[in-house]
Amino acid sequence: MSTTIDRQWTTRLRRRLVEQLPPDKALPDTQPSYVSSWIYVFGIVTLSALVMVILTGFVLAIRGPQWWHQSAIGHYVNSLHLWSVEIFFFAMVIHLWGKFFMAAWRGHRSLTWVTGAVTFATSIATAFTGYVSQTNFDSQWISTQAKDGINATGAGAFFNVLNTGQMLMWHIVLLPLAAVVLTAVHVVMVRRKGVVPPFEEVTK
Amino acid sequence: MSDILGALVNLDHPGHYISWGWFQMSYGNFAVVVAMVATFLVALVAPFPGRQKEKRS
Ligand code: HEM
Repeated sequence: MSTTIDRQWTTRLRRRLVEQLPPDKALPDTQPSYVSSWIYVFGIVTLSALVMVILTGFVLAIRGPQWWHQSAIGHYVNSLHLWSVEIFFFAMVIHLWGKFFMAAWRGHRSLTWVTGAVTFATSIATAFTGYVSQTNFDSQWISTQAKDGINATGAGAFFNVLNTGQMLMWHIVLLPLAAVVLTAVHVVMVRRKGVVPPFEEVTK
Repeated sequence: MSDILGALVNLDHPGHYISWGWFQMSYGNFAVVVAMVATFLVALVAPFPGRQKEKRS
């Protein structure tokens, strides 16, 4: 018979969490030998670049556009933000290729693949809104070039690329939040399922 | 500093593009794609530090 304690939501939630992601799976001591290859490094490179993007983004948000356009240190932080994004996409694409050729969605890992793919799409939207939030001639050019295409899809009804305030909000609130949450789910899924064994290991 | 970098790569001109029928891509983007493919291939073959030699049975 279940006791009152067993029925508490805190008790039930804790048991569920521990069952789904036991501590030794969440933070393992070792990994299988096939993981010692450079191709497995690109997930964590992507994650590290994302951390840099968020941190430098915080600094840009604190100081604002005049600062990042006019001061030397502002230019520097702006460059760190841009180049971290470049590394982020570069590593993410190699990560994606690696996982594609390993068919890393095998063994009930489809949610890992799908959260990765959706993060990729979200990151493209985040980068796009970042380009149109620069507040310079480049962002003016990009937004006026993009508006007709986006309006033609119908999305222009609620997503107006000429609206600097709206684009900035998408860029610094909604899309990064989505990307970070999706990335967290992605990494938790990798930990829950463990790294997918190579084809040879499965057929052995 | 920016003057030194600017002297190395002169960006003060319209972009250069690869055109292949309907396909068009800037040389900058093309260079990045080539670098990604190269990095991918190196990641597959480069020895990973600390990896133990596979035991053959
Ligand atoms: C924000 C972007 C991303 C981050 C931070 C990220 C991070 C990671 C990390 C740290 C791992 C474990 C280590 C590794 O195998 O590299 C991993 C595994 C994986 N990633 Fe990503 N990833 C991202 C995007 C993607 C994308 C775009 C895809 C594919 C569409 C993808 C598919 C996968 C798959 C299938 C695995 C599981 C591999 C396995 O179980 O062996 N990821 N990811």
